[in-house]
Amino acid sequence: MPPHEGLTELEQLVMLSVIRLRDSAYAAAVRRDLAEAASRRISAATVHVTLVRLERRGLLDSWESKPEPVRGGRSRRCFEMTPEGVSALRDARDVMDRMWARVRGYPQLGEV
Amino acid sequence: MTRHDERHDQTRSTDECSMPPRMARRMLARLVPTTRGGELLTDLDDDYRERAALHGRLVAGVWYWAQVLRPSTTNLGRELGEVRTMKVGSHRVPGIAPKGLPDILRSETKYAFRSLRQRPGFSTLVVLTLGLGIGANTAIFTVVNGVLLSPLAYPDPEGLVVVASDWGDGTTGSMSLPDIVDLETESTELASLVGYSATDVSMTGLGEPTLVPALRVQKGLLSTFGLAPTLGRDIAPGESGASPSAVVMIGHGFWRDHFDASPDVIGSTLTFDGIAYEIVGVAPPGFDYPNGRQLWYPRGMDPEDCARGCHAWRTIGRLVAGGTVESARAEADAIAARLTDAYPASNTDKTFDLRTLRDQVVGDARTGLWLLLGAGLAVLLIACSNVANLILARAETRRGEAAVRTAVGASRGRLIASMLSESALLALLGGGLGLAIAGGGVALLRGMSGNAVPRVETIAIDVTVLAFTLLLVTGVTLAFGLAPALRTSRDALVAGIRRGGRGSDIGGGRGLRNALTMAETALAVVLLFGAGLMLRTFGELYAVDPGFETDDVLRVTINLPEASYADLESIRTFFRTLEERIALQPGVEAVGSIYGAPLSGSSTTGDVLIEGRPEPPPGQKVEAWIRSIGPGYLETMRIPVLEGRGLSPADDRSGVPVAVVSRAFARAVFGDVNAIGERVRITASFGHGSPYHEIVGIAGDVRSESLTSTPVHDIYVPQGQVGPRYMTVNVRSSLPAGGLIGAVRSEVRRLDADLAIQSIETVAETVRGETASTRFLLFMVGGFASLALVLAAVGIYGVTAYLVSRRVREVGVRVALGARPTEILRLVMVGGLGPALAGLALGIGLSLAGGRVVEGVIYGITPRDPWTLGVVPLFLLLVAVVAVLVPAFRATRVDPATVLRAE
Repeated sequence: MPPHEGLTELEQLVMLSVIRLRDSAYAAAVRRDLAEAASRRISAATVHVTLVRLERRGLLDSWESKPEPVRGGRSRRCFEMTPEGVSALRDARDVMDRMWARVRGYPQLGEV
Repeated sequence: MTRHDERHDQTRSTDECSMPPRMARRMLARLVPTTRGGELLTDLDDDYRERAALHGRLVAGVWYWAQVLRPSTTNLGRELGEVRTMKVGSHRVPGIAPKGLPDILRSETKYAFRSLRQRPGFSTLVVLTLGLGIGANTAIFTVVNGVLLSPLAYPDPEGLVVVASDWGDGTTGSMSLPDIVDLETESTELASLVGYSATDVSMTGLGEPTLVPALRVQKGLLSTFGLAPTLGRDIAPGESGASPSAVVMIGHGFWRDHFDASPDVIGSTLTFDGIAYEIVGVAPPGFDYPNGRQLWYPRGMDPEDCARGCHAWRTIGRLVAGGTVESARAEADAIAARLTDAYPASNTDKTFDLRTLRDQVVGDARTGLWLLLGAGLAVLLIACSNVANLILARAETRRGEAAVRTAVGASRGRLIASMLSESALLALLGGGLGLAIAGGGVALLRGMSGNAVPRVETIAIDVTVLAFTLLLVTGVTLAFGLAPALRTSRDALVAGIRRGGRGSDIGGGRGLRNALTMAETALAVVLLFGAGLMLRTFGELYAVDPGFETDDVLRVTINLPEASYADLESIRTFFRTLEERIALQPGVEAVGSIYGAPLSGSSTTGDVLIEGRPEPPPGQKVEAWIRSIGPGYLETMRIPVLEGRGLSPADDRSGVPVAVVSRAFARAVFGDVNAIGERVRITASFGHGSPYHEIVGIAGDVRSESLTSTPVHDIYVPQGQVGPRYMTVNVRSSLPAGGLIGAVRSEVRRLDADLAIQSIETVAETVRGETASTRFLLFMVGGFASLALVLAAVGIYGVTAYLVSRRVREVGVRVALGARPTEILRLVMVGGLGPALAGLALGIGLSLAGGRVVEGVIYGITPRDPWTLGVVPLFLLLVAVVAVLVPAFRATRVDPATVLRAE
């Protein structure tokens, strides 16, 4: 899938979480963040798969962190946004905004 | 050891108890990609620990196992485009990216579907074979489940027992009321015991007079069943007796149908048999014990007539809580012994037969049904070995395919899984077809079984049956799929590629195929043997001379209500007039009534005293079946009068009491002395005195109780001299007997418009009913045996045909070298008939060894019936020879030039 061909809602949520988590954006943290902020319970495997897929599309970049400074501490694969990722996320939001703008004044949706 | 496993080992020591299930973790470690899968594994471990702390290890463990099956777990590897290496033999070769279990299942199912669609003939044959096998079994199991396994629909049904008099000679029967009362009072194992007798009452005042199944009870039954009436109360203990109260409890259905379920019904009146009864209660829904009763009312009992020697009560009782049938039985034996001491005249040689209600209801059907289930399973086994043979043959041709799959990295496990999923798919399709067949089969069985199978209403396909079918499907998959799968997958690579799929016979495969053919032939022999025995039994039953002529006789049973027919004269007049009027109908040759009609199940026995002889000591009394008959009875049934005369219309109240006895009675009592002129007194009476009767004639013996029992001692007394009100009028006609039904009905109505006829049927129907269970078994076992025979024949044919196809080169060479067709024929026939003959021998051995299990259902022959033993093997041999001859002839036509050129 080319980088700009739309993002699923889950992908958008994961990317937003990666931006918010900054330096500690690894899979388990993203998952926790989504559970807290978006009330989404997503399986660990799904988060991993989504992160890897976004990385393959060039929308995320990753590196191996240094092991945590405790006994048995792990090294984590951390993610950050690439410029392509940022622009894809912005496109996704623009699409949504445009769609929302077209239904302004629909009372059941409340004030947009 | 992979990287993840190492990590796993490091953490194990620290927190062993908070680690996920080891096996699941190992599987996951194999499923996730080697690069970057580790973090997912540790995340899942963390998740597991969190869940274990929150919900416990069991819930967390289940969740963790679910992760193994999640496609997303294994998608990680595909997202990374990882190529894994796989071990093939001792080499590591590049393989396909590893797949999750769901992926494997999906792709294997797809593959199996495709490969089955490519061979529609093979697939149809297999599915049909399995469908027949599974269908037959499911149908039989449905019956077994409904009749034998499902509990009776009462609270705590295993505590319900039935007690009967046990005469010590293998017969049991009704109880006397004093015995019932003593048993209930003295027993500590029985919580209750209630006597009753079933009757049909003639209901008037609710439109046309109708016959309603009713029960005359000693006291209410509901508390024994652990039930309570919907409305009002049950019959109270004090309401039966010498002057019974005119009260009745009505059935729930009866209440709904006739009283619109009105609560005001209590206290209203219901008139039947000419007496008005007060309705005191309504039974709970569904209660109709026994067999569809709708009314329960107190039974009157005449203390003089119905003492300890008069057995006219059936019983239902309940064990005390926690009691067992065994201990209750032991206690009943002890009580019976005490009663024998106290009342030697009536209780010598009499004990109590105590069994569960379920045993009573299921009765003789048990043996037959288990036998049928066994026969069904044998057919399924034959079907399985046939299918296994087909699959083996196919597997031979698929060696190349297996080899290629191995070459590109399929493991042996994967090959087995592949073949097994094909088998599973076939078994599932067969199972589906089987269920459909079973659905039709169950309907057929219900319709056919008649009175051969009890509790027919409970027979239905339910969850238990579906589970059984699923079990069959699983078993079948393994039975016919595993052996070929294991064999083919073994050294598939080496053997397959070397032989290039063209293949010649391989020793092991042939051995297995021969063994399968032998097994199915043996099973077919056993089934055919069983069918042969049933056929012989049926023949024997058919040849039994019942002692009377059954054709063209209609029998009408009438029970005159006591209220309107109180005295002997009115009873006599009714039946005489009815007989005379029926005799005027066109085609009627003779008319005669009887109380205690043959094969009707109703009869009375009594002790017989002979004038001039001292009263015999207890236990040596002469007992006889007392049958009260109208003057035309013996002639109507064509029972011959061997000596003296029959009974005539003149033998009535005004004449000397007379009797005709059966030859068996005369021989047993008087030996060589001429019985005519002797006088006998019968202790049982029908309420109109019991004087001495002078024997005026000796009649032929009749099998009155059942076709299979020996003729009993009969004493025929004139109805005009003894009654009773309950009579069966027999009508012999030169026209088809069934055509008289309408005329007879209207004659009865002309005589008494309030009278309902108890039953009306031809004697031939009654005799048919007698042989119903044999006919049912014969039909079923015969059906199974035919199926088995066809399958076995196909199996033998298949093995021989396969043999021929594999040895076509050899045959070609032999023909080229000058072998004659007869030699080729012999070569093939020896190879093909070998396993069939071995199976035949095995089957005969099995039949001889297992003969005892059929003893209960055969009649007139032994389980080692020489006729059956001779015919069945010959028949099967004939079938086997034909099955072998077809491919053998094909072998003789092999053209050596073609074969050798193909080389």
